[in-house]
Amino acid sequence: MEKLLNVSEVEKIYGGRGRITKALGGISFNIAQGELVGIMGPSGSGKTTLLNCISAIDTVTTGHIYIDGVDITNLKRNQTAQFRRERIGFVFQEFELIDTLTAYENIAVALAIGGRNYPELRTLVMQAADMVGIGDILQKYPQELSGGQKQRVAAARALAVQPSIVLADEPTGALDSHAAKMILESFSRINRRLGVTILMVTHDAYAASWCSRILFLRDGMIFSELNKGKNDRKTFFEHIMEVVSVLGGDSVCAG
Amino acid sequence: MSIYWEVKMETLLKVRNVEKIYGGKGNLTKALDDVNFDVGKGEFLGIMGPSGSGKTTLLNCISTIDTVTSGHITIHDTDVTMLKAGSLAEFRRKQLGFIFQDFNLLDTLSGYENIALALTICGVSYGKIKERIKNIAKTLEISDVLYKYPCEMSGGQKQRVAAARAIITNPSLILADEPTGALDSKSSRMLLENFVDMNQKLGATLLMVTHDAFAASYCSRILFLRDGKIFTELLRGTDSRKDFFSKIIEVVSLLGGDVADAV
Amino acid sequence: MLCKLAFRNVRKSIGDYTVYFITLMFAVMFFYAFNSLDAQQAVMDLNENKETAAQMMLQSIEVFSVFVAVALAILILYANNFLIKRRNKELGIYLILGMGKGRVAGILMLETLLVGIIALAAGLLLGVLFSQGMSLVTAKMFEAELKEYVFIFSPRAAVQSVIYFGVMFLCVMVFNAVRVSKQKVIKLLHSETENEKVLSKKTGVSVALTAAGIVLIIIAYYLIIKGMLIMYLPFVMLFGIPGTFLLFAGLSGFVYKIAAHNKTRYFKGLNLFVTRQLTSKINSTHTSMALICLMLFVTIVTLGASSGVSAAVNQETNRDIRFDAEYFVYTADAENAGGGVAALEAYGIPVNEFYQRTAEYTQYDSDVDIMEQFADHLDIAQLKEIEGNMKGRAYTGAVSVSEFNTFLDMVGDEPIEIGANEVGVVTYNEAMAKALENFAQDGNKIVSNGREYSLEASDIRIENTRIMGSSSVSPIILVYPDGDVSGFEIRDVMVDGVYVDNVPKEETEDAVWAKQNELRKAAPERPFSYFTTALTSQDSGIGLRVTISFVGIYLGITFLVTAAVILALQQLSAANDNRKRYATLRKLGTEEKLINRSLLKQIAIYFLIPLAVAAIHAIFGIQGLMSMINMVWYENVYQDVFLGLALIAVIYGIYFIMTYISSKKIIKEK
Repeated sequence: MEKLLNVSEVEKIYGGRGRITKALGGISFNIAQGELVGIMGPSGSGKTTLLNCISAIDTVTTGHIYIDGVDITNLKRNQTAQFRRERIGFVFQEFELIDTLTAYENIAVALAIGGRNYPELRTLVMQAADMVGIGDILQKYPQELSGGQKQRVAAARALAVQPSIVLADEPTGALDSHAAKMILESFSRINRRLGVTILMVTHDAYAASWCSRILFLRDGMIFSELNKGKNDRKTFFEHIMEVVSVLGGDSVCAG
Repeated sequence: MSIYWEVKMETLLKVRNVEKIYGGKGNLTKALDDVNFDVGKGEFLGIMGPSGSGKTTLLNCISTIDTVTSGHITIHDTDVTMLKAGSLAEFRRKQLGFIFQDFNLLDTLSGYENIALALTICGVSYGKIKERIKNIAKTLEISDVLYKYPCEMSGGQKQRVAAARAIITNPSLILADEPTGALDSKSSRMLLENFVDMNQKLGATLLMVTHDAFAASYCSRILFLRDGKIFTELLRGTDSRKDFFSKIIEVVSLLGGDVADAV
Repeated sequence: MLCKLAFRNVRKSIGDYTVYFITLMFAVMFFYAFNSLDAQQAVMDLNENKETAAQMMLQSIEVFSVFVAVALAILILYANNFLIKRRNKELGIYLILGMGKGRVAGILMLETLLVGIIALAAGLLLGVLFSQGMSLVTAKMFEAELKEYVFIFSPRAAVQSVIYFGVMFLCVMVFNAVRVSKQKVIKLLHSETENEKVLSKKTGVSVALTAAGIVLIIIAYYLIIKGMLIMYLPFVMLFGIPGTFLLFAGLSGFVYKIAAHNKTRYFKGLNLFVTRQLTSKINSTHTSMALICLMLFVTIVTLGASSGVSAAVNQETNRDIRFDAEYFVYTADAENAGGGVAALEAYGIPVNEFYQRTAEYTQYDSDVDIMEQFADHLDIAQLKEIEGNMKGRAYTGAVSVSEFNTFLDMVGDEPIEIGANEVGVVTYNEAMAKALENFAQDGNKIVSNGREYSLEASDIRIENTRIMGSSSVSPIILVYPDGDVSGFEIRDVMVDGVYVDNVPKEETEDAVWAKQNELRKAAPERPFSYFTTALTSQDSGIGLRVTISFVGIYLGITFLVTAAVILALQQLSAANDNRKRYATLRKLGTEEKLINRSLLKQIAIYFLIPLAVAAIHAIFGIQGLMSMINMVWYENVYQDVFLGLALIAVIYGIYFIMTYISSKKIIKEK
């Protein structure tokens, strides 16, 4: 499989005035085209920082991150925005929909900023809406939608730009179990049928069980890695729980 | 160490048939669906559940921040769902202490003043304030940051100052909403140990909402919520924390596994 | 502890909310400075006439201070509301800690009190300093000398400022207490997640609302153009005000409809975002926008009209009057005494002692209807003016040539020479003289006394025959051969005089008025209906001008600043609410440049809409006002109106730029 994302020796150090925190302590891994990868870890383990670095929202202290062969840690400021807009699709925990825009307009806005012409824009919006099954709610405003619908609109927005990779930060974090299951099914379907590469950060083992591979983070380092392989999801889930248990258990020992 | 089912403790908090319904215009969400439980004096209760399970809503209803749609919550024989606006302030002041995920310290006041404010509101004299802050600061290991402003403190220090503010008035019940949510594992551990001290040495009753199994393993009892209902309950008993943690992981696994089965 | 908390909060708010604080301070300063005019004019060397004029001004300022105070009160309440909203979370923490709502309100009250006292003190201090400089301007406008440099302080104005602003701060305190007592803790703690009200109205309804508004406004305009402002003022307001509110009520839907019509443009760059932002903002603030528009309208009209009117008054007072005093003697008294001068002497006025030269002539109403005979040669503005001035009696005045020549002789002009069947013309207006010249050169005849008179262009004189004010005289006076006026109705017997040469004019002036007052006490039955002097008229003209200018500036600036600050605060709070939306845009990969441009667009449009509507209103408003006070006569008044408008543009522009810069800063905050 083609290597789509390459994270190489990434460190991220926060703070100053004698209060330094190492959020990421030299992380390296690869993600191939068409994978659905999960990143798990307790709060404070650095998983959201890692995602922010990959999406060029945050800068790394040292190390390199390549997406499609482009080193995003070397991008100029004005290139960063364009790169993010064209190559990365985002799904956030709190949806990040603009509440003054309808669902349709929310999906369209990233395309409009990118300067797509209207006929092309319309086609892309409708295609993306179809992928996640929200064709019937496009004219509604975010506050008229349930959490699950909102997250699917956000997913459609991420897909509409036809990105190299979709980054999802705790996408089920604000959803009830039913809505969470629906959005996870969408992700899985998009990944399998359209070959979209998805990288998802989560602390929820159930959400993680939908992935094909999971990286476990603790205190800024990769602690372990788990492949779904030929397992069914239930077995995979149990494996994940084992690792989570070890993760927590270890800290109990250290405590 | 007192254990709920062995020594029949005095019941401090009673939650009876509580329902909370949000929304309108055909977009109704049942955040809490007929929740019932008791909390004894001196307990350290954890409430766990995945996001959206209603745990924060439950905490808000107990803490009088939010109102219930139906049902009753009694703290020390006072039905908080029936409290008038006028007596709410006094009730919060005397009976409750709060710890939030994002600290909610006042940034214009130093650590010392933030803690003192909770007392001055109650009309405690300066001499007593000084004494009490000194003691609590020692217990919670924040003596050296008392004169710093919140913006000069680390997350862990802020949260311990907030904990000091919550316990300084000797409230009947301390409510903590994801207190470790914004802390790294070291700070979390420190804070949780402080909680145990508060619970065991100072006899405080704590009610902590968390989604983190590690944080929950410090509690004496855990309620698991799913989709607005109590799913199960776990007692620590005489288990070591490590064993208790493994049990929690099992339940969490069950909680997730249940959903997985339903596919 | 509570005090400490309040004190810290105030210190923080002084840093954070500079706009509010500075506005408050300047409001006090401005209020004090204008109300301290009594102290300012006390140190000026004013004569009796100017003294009276100054009193008039003080009274007007006092009346208008009430309006100013109301505007400022609205502003302060609004600004306070904005500040409180930004502090929701903090208030939530207080309540969570178990502080009673009364005590939270107490902290806020204490803060208001502290802010109030600081702003009041600083404002008064600035006001006192400002009034020192202002007294120089006042003196210059009164054309008076300052007696000597004295430090000016008006205790009355200071007390008044303290009382007015004290009441305002009291209102703010009550308002805050009510606000706190109505809040829910959970709302306060999670206020940042609150959503903007979205466009819910059907666009059809919006378009209908706007259309109805426009119709009402057009009706109001029509009433003004038709010159019915005076009679129909209540109707103009009845249509204009609700019209404006309706226009803004429907505007958001209307704007959206237009903007979203062209899909290609709508879905380009951030256009759709800007449109949605604007329409939702307009939708949720349309009432205050309409109010701001009306305030701006008042500003433009008062500033524009006051500079126009004061320029007109200035022209009026600076007329070239070449004699010093005039008497309108009663016809009967003149006949009994054997002439106007004789009548004055009989009354006891020592005419020869005061006046070097006098002139006496009788003025009649002729039988020449201006509208009928000259209409073809006058332009519409002149005709309207005459129609308005003469109140339907549009006959020319008439004098006999030999009598009128004594007047010309007195002011040192060549006498008019006319033969039989010839008339001369006296007018004070150049445009009128030009029109009549054309009339004469075309060989037109004037029909009067059943005969035809011819007019020579050389017999047209431009002359101010009255001190009293040109608009009270017929714009055309015909000079007839001596015998030909006998058939006309007598209006007045005029006695005009030039003061004696060997004594300074001011001394004679004082002596004349002293004698006048002395005689009035002795004999209230006077032989003349009206008496005035050139100097008096000038002084009262100055007084009127100063009053109009000061009131105009006072009201205008207050309303303008109020409107601008409210707009600025609305945009700042919008920027605050929008932080999350901009953060989302950034995450989606929007360049900072694009975001700034969209922000600029939103603020510019938001500032421009009320100004544009107000400006259109004002074009008609000023027109109506000017025609109401008959000032159309003076052609270059509009230059001064534009000067007033330029001032507005500058102040408004400063607020606009400040708003943009601070908004940019706010949306960059994390």
